[in-house]
Amino acid sequence: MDLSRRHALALSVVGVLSLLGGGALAGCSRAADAEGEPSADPEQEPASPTQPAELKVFSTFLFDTYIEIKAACDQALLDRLNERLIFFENTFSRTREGSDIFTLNMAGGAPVEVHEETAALISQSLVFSELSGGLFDISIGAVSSLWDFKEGILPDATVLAEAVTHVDYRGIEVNGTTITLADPAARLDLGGIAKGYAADEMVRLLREGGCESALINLGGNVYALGLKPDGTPWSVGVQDPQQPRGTLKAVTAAHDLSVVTSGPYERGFEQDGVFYHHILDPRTGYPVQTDLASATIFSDLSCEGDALTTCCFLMGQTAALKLVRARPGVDALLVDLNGEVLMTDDTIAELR
Amino acid sequence: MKATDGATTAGDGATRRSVLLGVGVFVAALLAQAGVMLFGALRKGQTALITDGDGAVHELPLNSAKRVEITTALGSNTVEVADGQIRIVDSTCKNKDCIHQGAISNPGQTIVCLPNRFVIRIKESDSPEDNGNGSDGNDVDAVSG
Repeated sequence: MDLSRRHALALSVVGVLSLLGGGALAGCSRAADAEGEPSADPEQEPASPTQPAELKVFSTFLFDTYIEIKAACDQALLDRLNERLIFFENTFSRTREGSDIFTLNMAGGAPVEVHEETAALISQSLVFSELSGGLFDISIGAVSSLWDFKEGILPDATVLAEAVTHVDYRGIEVNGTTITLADPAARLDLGGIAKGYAADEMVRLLREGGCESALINLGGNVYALGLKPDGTPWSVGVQDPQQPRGTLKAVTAAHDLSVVTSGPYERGFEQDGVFYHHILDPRTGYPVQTDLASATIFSDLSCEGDALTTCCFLMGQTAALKLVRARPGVDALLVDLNGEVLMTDDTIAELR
Repeated sequence: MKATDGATTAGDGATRRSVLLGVGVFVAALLAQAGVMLFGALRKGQTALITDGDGAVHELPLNSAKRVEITTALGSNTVEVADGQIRIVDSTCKNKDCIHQGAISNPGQTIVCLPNRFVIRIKESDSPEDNGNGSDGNDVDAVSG
């Protein structure tokens, strides 16, 4: 009798353990699938009309930032995205020896043959320079290369003043894939637009590969492709520029939408009581003084969002609202220095 | 043959065994229910995935308090787990931006230390109630900015 009672108790204990343990294990394996473990994907075909329900997560450090892509697609497609990102890094980087931009900056005014993508990106940049009356200017390189926001290096005022004289987008000549800088001391820096361009290219590659659901995050430049696998829109938060990272100012339900935000809080350093941030004014060479704490752009293309956030931030509230209202399909959320929010369309995001 | 023998000689024992089994199953169900509730309270025992500067991934369950220091050639980060949340409490990086990012606990949330290439992500689960659609503020899929 004693033996059978012990058996029964043992059985019930096993039952409890298996119930608890089984539940926990099932939870773990589901989570593992959602994480996109390489082992979980062998039967998923990219061309299949029914997309995989699970999101694979891919992350890397490129463009001096953290990149994370969640996509309902197979590993081969994610690998292609990664290759493409590395290509952009190697082509657009100002500091990487042998990149198109590095070569162009070292050419001393001689014409340089560049990749099609580089020429396209430079041409796009010039459109936004015109649009912002020269406030958005990729020839900011002569100035931006003097600053180091990671190490907290403040450039010498005289050197900076000289460098500003080499900032002028009108000296950038694009002839097919041949680029010429009229000023031999001019330096290009695509930092204000390259991430947006790269995000658009990720979207294009994902769509081409049959992916209908993805979330692309290139260091805070977010693109929501399609809907989430559960059929609801992606939820994209807008960072509160005056609060610690992770505190939201607003949330938008995003479906095929780019959300890009620029603000001083993203990168900068303090020296002698002054905060020096990374959004440089091409007129002075110093971080811009503006009436905004951050600018967020909602648009179809991330390239446009990337360039326009910088434009808006540099222009200030009034001119920024005017600029964005004149562009169909684009909306802005501007946070002023008092934390007040202005939106070009009040339905685009819900305030927190 | 043996089974029949056992049944005829120890019928009383078999009944008691069934009763005990029944009680056992009942207790198991109760405990399982308690377990489910407990797990729910602990946000299903979320797990943090930590990628260090060498690209190695460390899994850290958030259901027990601990402090871990992870060092690579790029630098060192100390993480602290408490109350089902994880945060970076110390870092060799210059700006300490990673420390200022505070604690996270919801699936999909991240803390990034760029200089040390150190990333903490809360593992995602595919059942929505696990993915923190609660009222604690930061329940989004990504943050722009």
